[in-house]
Amino acid sequence: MIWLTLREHRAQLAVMALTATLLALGLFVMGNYAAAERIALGVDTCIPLPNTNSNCVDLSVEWMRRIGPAPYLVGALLLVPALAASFVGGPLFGGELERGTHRLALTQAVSRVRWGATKIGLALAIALACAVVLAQLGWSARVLNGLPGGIKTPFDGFEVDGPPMVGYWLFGIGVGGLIGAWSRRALTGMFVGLLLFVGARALVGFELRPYYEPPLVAYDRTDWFARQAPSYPSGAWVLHTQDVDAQDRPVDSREMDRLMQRFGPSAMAGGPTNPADYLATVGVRKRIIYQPAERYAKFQWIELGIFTSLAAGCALLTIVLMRRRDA
Amino acid sequence: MTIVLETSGLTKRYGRTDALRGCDLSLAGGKVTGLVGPNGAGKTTLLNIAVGLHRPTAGRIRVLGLDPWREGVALLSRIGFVAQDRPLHGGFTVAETLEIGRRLNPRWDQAYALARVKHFGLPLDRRVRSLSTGQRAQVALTLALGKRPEVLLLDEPVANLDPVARLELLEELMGVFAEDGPSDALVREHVLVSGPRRAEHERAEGEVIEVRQAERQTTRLLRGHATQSDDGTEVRPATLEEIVVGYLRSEREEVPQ
Repeated sequence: MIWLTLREHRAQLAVMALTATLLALGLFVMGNYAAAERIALGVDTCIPLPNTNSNCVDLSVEWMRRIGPAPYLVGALLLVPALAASFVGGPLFGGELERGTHRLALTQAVSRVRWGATKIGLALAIALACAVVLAQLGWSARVLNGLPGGIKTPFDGFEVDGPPMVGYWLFGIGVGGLIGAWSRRALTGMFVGLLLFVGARALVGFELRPYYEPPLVAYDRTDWFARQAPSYPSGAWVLHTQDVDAQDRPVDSREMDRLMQRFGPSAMAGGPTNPADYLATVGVRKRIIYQPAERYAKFQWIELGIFTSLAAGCALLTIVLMRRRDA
Repeated sequence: MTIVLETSGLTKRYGRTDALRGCDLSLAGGKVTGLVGPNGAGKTTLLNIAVGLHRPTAGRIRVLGLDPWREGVALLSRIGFVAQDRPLHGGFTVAETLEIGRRLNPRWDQAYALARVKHFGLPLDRRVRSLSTGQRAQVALTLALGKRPEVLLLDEPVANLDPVARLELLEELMGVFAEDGPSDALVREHVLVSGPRRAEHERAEGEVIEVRQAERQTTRLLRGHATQSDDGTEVRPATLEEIVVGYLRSEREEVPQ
């Protein structure tokens, strides 16, 4: 059965493995090159001239010029699992059911469960191998993203780094396979599988990931008047900032107007003469809701867990579908 | 004589449509049976249920004493089946197609399969896609016969074939059964063939064993004896197809190869 699966899907599986290999090679070579150039140019050790940082910006621009289109490799890292979902997952069962060749396999002395499990299992295994290799290259993606310079938080490279990557690959194959099997159409599997893949990624990324653990809250001086360098907790993933009053109620602009009408009288009466100081004394402050940097690794494993479970669920459902349905 | 296929009250419903309703059948071994009826009579449905591809809605079916849906693997190693439209992987070569049979069937006879493919002049390294319809039919049939099945089930094996190929395939099928004989069997027990036309099956001097008619379905079963002697001659009007076949054959024999 393994032989048949490999022979039948060798083109797609080979293209998937080859794409992953080339991408890994590209990331490895370009990541090293970009990192070396960065050091050679001194991008990260640049000291801004007084009153300007144009000298440092120039170095960054020169670095970008030297690495050329390499940052697109990071985009490819996000794109390739989606393509695998579509081109490998979709036709895995969909193409076979559409052409009727499943009746050829299923009337040999082979059980439906073995047939379904071998197909999905093998595709998942090869996707896993691709993903594990690419997951080692998160450092390269971070370099190419230019993060070491203006690095704010490791969370910026969350989706191209380590464990989540593996989850995405597995889930892509699983969801493509399931939709193809369910619809009995390769194209439906490819298209709807891709939509569900992107949808699930977006849903998890925007709605679930920020709350894998209850976010922390920090307070800072409001920057309503004076733009100041934010003193966020180092490396934190800031989810939300808002001006609030002493009771944590949001302060909107109308409320701010109302408060500022009393600024004059307050200053006359000996209060702070700086509006920012005045706002601080009346309890206005900036509330920062964030995830601290030290949760990064844990979040990565949670994300891997979610997508791996989804992939396993899809695979299981596919096998059950194949087992119970008229072929 | 053993009963190779037995159904009672076999019913298959697709949505609101009854594809098969209360089908009672009992086919004894050592025979070639034609399953004849118009489109929609339920021939394909019956065969699909018999090989475990479809699950009956109601009723009971036993093939070689096994339940095809529950005991599919055990049954499928003992029966050969060619599905409607003869599904094959177009990108596989002939040799790779036989490899499917070899790897997935415990009783596969590779020597026989290779000999059969060679007999029909099918190049092993040709892709199935590039073969003619008739050649493809032979590959599909070889895949079914290579299992050394006790029962051979063929769903419209001659559909889409030209008249000559059609006749040759049917004669060859009869030969498979007759030459190897029910005792030392290539196909030991039974060949069940479905098709929309009566002529092909009646040639084998079929005897109508059962005529079933319902509002929307007509299934006519013919039982023919494969090991017929040629002494009996039959006088009847020739069909158009037979005239065409006769013409094509005579033409072909005259042309030097």
